[in-house]
Amino acid sequence: MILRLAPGTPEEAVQALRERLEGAGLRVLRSSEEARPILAVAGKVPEKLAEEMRVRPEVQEIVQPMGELLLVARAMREAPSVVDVGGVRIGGGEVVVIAGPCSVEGRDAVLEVARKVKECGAHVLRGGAFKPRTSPYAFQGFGVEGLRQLKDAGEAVGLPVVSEIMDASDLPAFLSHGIDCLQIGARNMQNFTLLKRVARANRPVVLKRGMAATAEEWLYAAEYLFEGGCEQVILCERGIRTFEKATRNTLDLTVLPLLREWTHMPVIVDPAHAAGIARIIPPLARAAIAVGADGVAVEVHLHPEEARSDGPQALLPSDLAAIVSDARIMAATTHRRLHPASR
Amino acid sequence: MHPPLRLQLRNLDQILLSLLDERARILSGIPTTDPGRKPAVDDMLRRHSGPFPARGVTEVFAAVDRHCRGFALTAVVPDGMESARGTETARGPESAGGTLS
Repeated sequence: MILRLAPGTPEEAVQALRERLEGAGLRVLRSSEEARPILAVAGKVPEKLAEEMRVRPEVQEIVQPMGELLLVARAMREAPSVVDVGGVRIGGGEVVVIAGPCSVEGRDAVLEVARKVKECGAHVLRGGAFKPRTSPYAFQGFGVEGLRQLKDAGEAVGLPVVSEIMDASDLPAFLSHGIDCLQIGARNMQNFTLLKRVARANRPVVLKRGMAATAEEWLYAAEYLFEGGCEQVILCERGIRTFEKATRNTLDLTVLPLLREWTHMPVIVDPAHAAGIARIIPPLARAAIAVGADGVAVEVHLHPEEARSDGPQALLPSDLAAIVSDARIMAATTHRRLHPASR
Repeated sequence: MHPPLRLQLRNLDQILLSLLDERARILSGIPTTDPGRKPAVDDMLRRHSGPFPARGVTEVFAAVDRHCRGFALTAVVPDGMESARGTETARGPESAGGTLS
């Protein structure tokens, strides 16, 4: 149960209400929303107590959430939430483009890509240092050294950086190297130990959808982050496993309008991992923005045929420039705008 | 006019305005001229096959150029509108925000 109190409700009244619920053995969570007090109640509220809540004057509205999706529920905020990634605001009516190499492949290589990413007008630099690979013989990433190279490249061109964390024990390295945003990959979406540790890191998080996860399971993973103290969460749709073999995964754009109804979190789309084929990424990126995505994340390589991971889905810088241009147009036609690129 | 048509026109106008704003944002603060501008518009006109008249296209782009920063000095100027050339400074609307770097 989510209780939306009247704006301006005195703090004493909010606390009294909270104590009444907690006195009944219920756990009460409070939204960080400033416009009005909003309380979420975890667990089954006895009917008598629910009736009492319905008639209390300070309770303006009662919303029944989906299951126990509380802190991520749309009703917990007045407006959709906006996540600040190193000065780039994601959500709130602006569209962003996140781009960079699948893997950080060396200092010079990542810097060269970073320059191109910046020139093309993208807003955030991505790059993998710890790579989750299907085969143990595939390139696993440069680890901590990769984080350093990515951050240095980002700073050199003036872009915040996002990189995937696979193991909670690596968290200190991500923080000490100033990685602006932590990505939890599809394979770790339900790694609850990792979610709990990352939640305490005080960094924005991109939470990718598990390849076999329902939207509800995905939101529960985000609920773990919120419950653990992280309110800066960006959902990332990256394709799900279906019977279709023509593409690597199936990009589930149908879920985006529903997510708008269910949650206040910004949602971005990674069409590259869904498609696995570079040439079909631009139309998928357009479609993602058309359906309401707050941004797209793509992979860029100067020589895709030489990429150490995911070369077939890597775009050339010229492709990225076209995607940024398309994003600007699609944002305008959906009554939003492209995030102003930093100089 | 039927309400659905009126709605369509209103939506199109909003999108046109949004796109013009985006164009202004790209040019905001970039004091540059583009010698390729006129050939590019001429090329668009050659390819254009829609019902909007060619002269109208030229006039619209001339107005766009006049009101956006940057390309004003090489603006497309339709016949009979030469006096418009250079009459406005290359400053965009006050609302013009960031730029495409």
